Amino acid sequence: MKITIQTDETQTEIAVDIRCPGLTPELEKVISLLRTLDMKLTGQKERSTYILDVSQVLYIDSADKKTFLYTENEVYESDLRLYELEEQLARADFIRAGKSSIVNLRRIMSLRSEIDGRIRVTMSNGEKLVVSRQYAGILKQRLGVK
Amino acid sequence: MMEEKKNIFSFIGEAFCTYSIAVIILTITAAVTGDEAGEISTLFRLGSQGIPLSALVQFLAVAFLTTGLRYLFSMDWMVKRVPPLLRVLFMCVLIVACIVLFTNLFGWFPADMWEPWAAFAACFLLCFAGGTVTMIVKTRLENRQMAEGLRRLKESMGKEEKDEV
Repeated sequence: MKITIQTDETQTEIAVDIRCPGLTPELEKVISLLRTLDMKLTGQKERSTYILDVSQVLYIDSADKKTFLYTENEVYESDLRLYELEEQLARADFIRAGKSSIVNLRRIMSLRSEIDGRIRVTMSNGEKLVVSRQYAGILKQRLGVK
Repeated sequence: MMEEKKNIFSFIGEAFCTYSIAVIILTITAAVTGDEAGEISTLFRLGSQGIPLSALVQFLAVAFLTTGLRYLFSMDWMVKRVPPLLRVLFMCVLIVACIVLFTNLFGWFPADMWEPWAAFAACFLLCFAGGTVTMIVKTRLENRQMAEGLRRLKESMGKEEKDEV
């Protein structure tokens, strides 16, 4: 793979050109990672690729080595792993809810602490998620409770 | 960054906390009714003069055992597999069994007298009810604080978005 970097002071924004004979899964992953820098996520659904704004995503979870993005009414599959998304989306107010999920703080409608230490979260579409005891402390810190 | 996990030092700290509360209650009881209770209980055989060393060691063992049980029932794998009500029930049964065992082993009070058992049951229920009420109040307070925190966070996020525009 040949990487060319051109610096030009007259440019007002960063532009990334990819020249390739065809898209490969690795390349799609690179593109997905690049999009997260622009607060966009790439999701696949029924053999089509969609560009989603990060704010559209309510939460992300992984199952069977696949990562899924959940919006208000749709579910998309992502090329990226959960830890990769977690790293990229930390500045977009996503936090870990469990070993296999991260939630968008901006899309939480309400939350409720359980006696066993977990936090039950209701998302803006009414879906309910559980923040495990292991990660409940981080959420409380973000909310200024701890 | 994860929530701070409980370790051996927090376990020892909590066990000693339970132990110190028990010893304070025992000392007050000994000072008030030690002379009469000394006739039937090994815990007060020194009367109002103080608590025997053997009783202090036995109470230390109970404190470590009960704290161990609390830790066991709050472990992640236990929380995931056993429903909360069942966990509390199992924990109470094991703690009571532990006290009954110590009572019989060390003659804390005569096992054939109903009055000490009634007093023990009353104390246990009172402590359990107190603990439960405290936990419910704490959870409610935390819920209110979290709702307020979420409102503040959303306000600040909204402000940031406006600033960016």
